[in-house]
Amino acid sequence: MKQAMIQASRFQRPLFLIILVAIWVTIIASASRRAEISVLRHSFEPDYAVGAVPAAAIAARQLARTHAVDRLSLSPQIAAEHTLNQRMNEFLYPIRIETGDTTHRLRLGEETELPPCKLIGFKYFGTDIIRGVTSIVLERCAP
Amino acid sequence: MNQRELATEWASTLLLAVNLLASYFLAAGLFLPVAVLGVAMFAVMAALLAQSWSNITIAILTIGIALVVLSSPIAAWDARSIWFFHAKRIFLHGDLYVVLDNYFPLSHNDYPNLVPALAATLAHAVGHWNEVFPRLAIVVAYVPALALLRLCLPSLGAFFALVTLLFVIGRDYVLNGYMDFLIAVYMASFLLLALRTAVHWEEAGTARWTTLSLILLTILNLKNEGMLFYAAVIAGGAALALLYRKIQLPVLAVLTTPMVIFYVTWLHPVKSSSIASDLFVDDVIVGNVFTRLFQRLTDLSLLTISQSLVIYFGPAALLFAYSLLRFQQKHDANDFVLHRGMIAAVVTVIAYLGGMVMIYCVTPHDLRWHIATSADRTFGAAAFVVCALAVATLQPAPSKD
Repeated sequence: MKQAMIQASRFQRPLFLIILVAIWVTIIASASRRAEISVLRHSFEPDYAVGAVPAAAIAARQLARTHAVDRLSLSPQIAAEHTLNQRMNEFLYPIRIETGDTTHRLRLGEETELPPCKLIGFKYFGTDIIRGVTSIVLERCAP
Repeated sequence: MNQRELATEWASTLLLAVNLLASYFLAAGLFLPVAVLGVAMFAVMAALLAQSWSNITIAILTIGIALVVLSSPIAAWDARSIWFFHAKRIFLHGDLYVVLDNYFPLSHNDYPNLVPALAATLAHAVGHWNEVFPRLAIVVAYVPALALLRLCLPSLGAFFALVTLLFVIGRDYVLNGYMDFLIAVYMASFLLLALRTAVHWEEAGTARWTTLSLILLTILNLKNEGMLFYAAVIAGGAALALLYRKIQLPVLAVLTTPMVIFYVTWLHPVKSSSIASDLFVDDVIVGNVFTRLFQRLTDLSLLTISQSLVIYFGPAALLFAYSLLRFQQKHDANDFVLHRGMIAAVVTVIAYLGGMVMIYCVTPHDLRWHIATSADRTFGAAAFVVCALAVATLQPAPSKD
């Protein structure tokens, strides 16, 4: 009995190590699946954003900066899309997103222009499988 | 505790203090020079290496974590809309309290901002904001807690077993910019260090009380759950006072000082700005807190919550029970001092879990949605803390020299 216990404890340590190594291989494989090492090259690049920012938000920021807009509102369709709404709010900052009447408004190209807003700039941001070719539009809604 | 372990404790305490200082500098509208952060990080690594050369594996682990953090996009919802959005705002305005204007309320502007302040400090060091470099704040925040865990565990094997459990339980949440498992590592290091102090009372002194206070202050500044943990620690402290039938003044100071500092520097400004937690919403649709609590205590909601508790916390509870049985078998004479410390730790964990269940009972959101989107990380964090207690209990008791 004692012999068997000694025999078992001799195998305990390597078994523990094998399990630990197997788990770590899985953890590292899982982490490397999401990681993009090439991103490290951009560590010191101003404004660099990766992956998680939709093309619409990147295009909207370029548009708002070109027209020196510091606060704007979102069209009903953008406001209704939770992820896009959230990304617009945090990615465009310090350009502030406000609700209600503002001088400038962002809408998707496929949305209808509603008076009194008038288009002052637009930017294509790519091809969407559902919407086809898509653009973002900046409108001026007040004189 | 030998001199080298003491050096690790002091170095970790220094990094804890520097991290908090980065936040308090921003409260005064200043940026902490990033070199101070670098020196404190270096001090922790040097102390760990001086303690044992095998600790070089912890330095390698830190570099690995840094590579994963820096090369993964901030895609998770809370990481983007709360923590790194706050960081961006704090960096652009050079002010910790800028979030108190309650712009974009969905970003939970009442949450404390230690990691965002660290990220803003790192962004200031390179002179601009981007979505890569400031994420290093996650690593800076992890280092002192991991070093303290290493200090509390007698072997490197036990430390890595615990880190493995952290990644197994926490999965993506460990490094994706959520605070839940960062706070869990701090909660575990607080309980293990407090337990070690209860067992080796001769180690108690200025260094230990400072370290424990700073860990508690860090926990309070990481996320709102920190206040829940603080309340749970008070419950654990009360249990300890009852068991010893006396109150130690330094323990009282450790328990009160962090909350006083946290109240002055964060809770009071938040209250003055009239920003309230979304949990305490009171309107005609969702009713008030008490209506919701009464309703969920009387319908089958508790069953839904318990189900998640069993799934995410159950296995860790079993591991802990097993570790206690093993401990009991090994120590026939009953190390009562350790038992009393362990009782206080268990009371703390139970109080924390009880508080978490209460939060689900009063949530103004749909309970099923709230549980589906958070129970794995909230109960998972508590599970990691219990795993830390189990791993420490399964180890041979540290020597008294």
